[in-house]
Amino acid sequence: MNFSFINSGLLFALPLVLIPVIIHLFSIKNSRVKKFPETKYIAQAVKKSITRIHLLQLLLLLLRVLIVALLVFFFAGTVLHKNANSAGPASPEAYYVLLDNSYSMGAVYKNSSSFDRGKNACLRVLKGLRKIDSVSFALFSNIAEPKLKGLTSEPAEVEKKIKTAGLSARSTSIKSGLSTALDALKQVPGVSKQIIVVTDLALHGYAQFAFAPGELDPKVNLVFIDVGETADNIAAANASAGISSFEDRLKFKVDIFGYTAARYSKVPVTLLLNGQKAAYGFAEVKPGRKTVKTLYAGAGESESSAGSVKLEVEDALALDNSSYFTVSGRQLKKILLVDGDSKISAFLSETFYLNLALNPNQRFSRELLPSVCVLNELKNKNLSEYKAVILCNIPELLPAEAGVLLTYLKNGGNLVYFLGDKIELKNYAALDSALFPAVIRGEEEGNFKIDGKTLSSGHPLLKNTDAGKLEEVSFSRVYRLAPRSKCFSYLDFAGLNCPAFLESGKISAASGRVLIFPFPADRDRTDFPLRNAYLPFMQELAKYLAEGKTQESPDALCAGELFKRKFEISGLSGSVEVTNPAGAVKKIVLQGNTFEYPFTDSPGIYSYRYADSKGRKKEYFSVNLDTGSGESDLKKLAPAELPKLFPPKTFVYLLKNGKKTERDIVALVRGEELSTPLLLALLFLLTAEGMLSLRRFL
Amino acid sequence: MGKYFNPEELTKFAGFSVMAGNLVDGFLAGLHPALRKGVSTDFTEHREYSFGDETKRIDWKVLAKSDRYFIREYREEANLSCHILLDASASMDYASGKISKYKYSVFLSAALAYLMTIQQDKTGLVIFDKELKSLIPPKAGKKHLSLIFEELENSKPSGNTMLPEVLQKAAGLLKKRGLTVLITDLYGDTEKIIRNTKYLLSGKNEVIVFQVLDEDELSLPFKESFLFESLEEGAPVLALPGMIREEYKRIMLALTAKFRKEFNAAGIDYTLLSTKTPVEEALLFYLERRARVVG
Repeated sequence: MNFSFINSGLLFALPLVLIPVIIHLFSIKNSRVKKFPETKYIAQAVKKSITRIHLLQLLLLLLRVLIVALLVFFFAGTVLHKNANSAGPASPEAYYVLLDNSYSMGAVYKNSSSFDRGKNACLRVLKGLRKIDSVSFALFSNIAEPKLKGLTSEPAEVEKKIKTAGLSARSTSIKSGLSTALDALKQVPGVSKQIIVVTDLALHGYAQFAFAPGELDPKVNLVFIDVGETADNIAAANASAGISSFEDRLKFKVDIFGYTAARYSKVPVTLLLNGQKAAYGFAEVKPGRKTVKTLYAGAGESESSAGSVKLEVEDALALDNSSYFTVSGRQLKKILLVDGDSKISAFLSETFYLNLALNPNQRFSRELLPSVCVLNELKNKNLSEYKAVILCNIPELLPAEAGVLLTYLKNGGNLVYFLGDKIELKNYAALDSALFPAVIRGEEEGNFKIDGKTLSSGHPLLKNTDAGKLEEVSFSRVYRLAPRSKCFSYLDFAGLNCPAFLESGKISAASGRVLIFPFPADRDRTDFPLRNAYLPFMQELAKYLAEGKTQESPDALCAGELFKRKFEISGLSGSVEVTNPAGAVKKIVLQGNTFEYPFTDSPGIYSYRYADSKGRKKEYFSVNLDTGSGESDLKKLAPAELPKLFPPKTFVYLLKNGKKTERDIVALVRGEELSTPLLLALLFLLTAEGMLSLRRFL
Repeated sequence: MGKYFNPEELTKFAGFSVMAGNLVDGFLAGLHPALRKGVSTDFTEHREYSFGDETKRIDWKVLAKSDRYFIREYREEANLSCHILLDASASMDYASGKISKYKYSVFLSAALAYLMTIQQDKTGLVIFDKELKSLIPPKAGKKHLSLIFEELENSKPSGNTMLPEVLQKAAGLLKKRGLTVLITDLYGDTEKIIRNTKYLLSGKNEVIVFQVLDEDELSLPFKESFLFESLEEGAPVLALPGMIREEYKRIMLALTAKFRKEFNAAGIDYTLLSTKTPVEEALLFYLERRARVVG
């Protein structure tokens, strides 16, 4: 804290403080003479009161000296600088105004949003600027969007940018904005520099907020203007669909976060599916807790669907009351099990254990959806819906069936063979090498185990499988397989020199995989289904196969994230048509088989259309707010905590938004003129002096 | 003229001796008979006999004529020797208003002398400062009163007081039975003053002390700071009256209280007079004490 003076020349009048001292001394020496009959008793009274008299005189003298000094300071125009970085009232200043436009700034309090208040605060900052000052403006959330190139001396230009600024659906990262502003201010030489951060000061913006000691220029003043208000907010997040135990119904789950001070009971929750209201319910929202709400609805006939879960509640932030999701074949990962040895009892069927392993507990939703059919049904199935077709002990594949499967394979489908006692060796030998990339050389009988040494082959399927448990599995009868070209063995039977698992390379970039196991999926020739290794092995197998037709981006994105999809099918046309939630259509040119869509600024359902050899297709992806970042929590950072986030010796100030914002900033940056406090102090001192003087004379 | 003389009003008149006479006459007219009547050979009036009266005082001629008993009343004869001791030191010259302590004291002395004279008392006057300036021995009669008036009118206050020493001297001179009235501001060594005043009580002498002070001396009402210089001896004192007023008042109150206590204990009548106090109050005080002496 230091002082400067507008009319510093007047400080030469400071010796005037000697006047009261001189008057005091003069008055002592030049008192009027009064003849009095007897002075003895006056002398006695003086002697007894001398301490009080001296104190009073000293106090009066002090007051008068102070009055003169304050008068001099008043006329000299004293300016107080709380900020050591202040360059003085006449120096040019550079301002970088950062306005938080993360979605939490949309919180409404008393009919105005934090963002509106923030814009007003920015405009007030501009009011305090002089012609010699320069300014720049940027919006920031988890990214910074500079609205001007460098700094300008034209506040009108900045004012226009502020007025047209809009809220984003992103989360906050104060650091992103600060880094941008610091970089810009580095280009401005030798003036007083300040970054004005207009934000709601919500806690989440400061997570993992750390500056290295040299990262912040200690000569830059950081002024935070708090435009936020703590208010109750409820947010919906992570809406997702899964399979329910009910055959034709889907199970929808949504997380509801209660950033509230009190409990909210019976918050209405609505599920919209493909634009139709599909389900309705109520949720209990507890303060500071997450509530999982489950709703059930019919999946409909569409291969892919989109929808949202909406909380019908009036809280501070309406934007985060909806959570969007998509439901598609890719998400559900359907697996077709073809039973080659079906029996009346499902327990005796070839696919019983496999089906159970892939769908272990039907009460819970999960990613995999196995369904069972017999070979005859295969021709009627729309195989493109399935991630994989698992052929369990199929005796033979007729040309028609082989043709369907080959097409499926070429289009990206995956095939798995479990070879049991029913298979016709001749038929298998005659199959296309792409469809069955191995040769069956015969059968081996005995008690065989998996060779432990081959378990570390690095195949993804074996990554999450417990090797020890897999070694415990015993096989009584297995086929001796020999891989054809581009087919590789990954597991061997111990002491048999014969592969236990084969996988062929892809015949084309768009084609799927073929995996062959020389043993059945049931208990006919092995105790594998009874072993602990069976379930995780089969789950991993299904997941591995389901990845065959994947995209790089998930179907659910956070606002601002890049949507990327890589098609592994051939015959795509040159562009993809993307429709955003507002209905605006944008054509994205394919880069090879990939298309990228970066314009995911608004939360909602995006649809994209593309055409392949089979015709036009429409799919969806959803964009949600990043509620996981805690952005919906409107709890504010404690003012005392703010300076602690920065390295020592950083000048950090926090101002509350209000009508005096520009004055406060100017006072902080340029110093505060003390005319009013000095005047008040003068009045007080004069009053005190008057009262003491009266006390002296009365 | 009202019931009382305002002391300041007295200054309007040139001859205060005339005024003193008028004042005392007017004062006596409203006074209780017991305070003013005495025994004298000069007949004044008849009074109906009442039980206890001396039979020798019955007017037999009136009895013969009217067959009723009347007592002959006579003017009392002067049998007191009164001395007025007047302080004429420089400190008595102080005046906050129109009348100084000395003028007030002179007027009081004149009024007392007049009153004593008409009561047939012998009246003497002693004017002193550090020593006895003039001494008029006590005598009765109007001629003598004129002499006292003349002396009072011609006197002027000056010099330092040496009250204890003067009192000691005066005690030697005033041996005759009577009444001594001391009019002074009592400034000096308090203990000595009290001790030496007691000397005046020798024989059957009664002593009345009138301490005459100005209002300024009692309340120190000044506002600005002054360098107070004494009218007599004493070092000058720089003081802010506002700051010491309460303490000063306490000191003065303690001083007068001390005088009152010590004098009363010794049988000396003491009263404090400010120059604003009506003179009649002092005269009444005197008469009460005289009645006791004559008793």
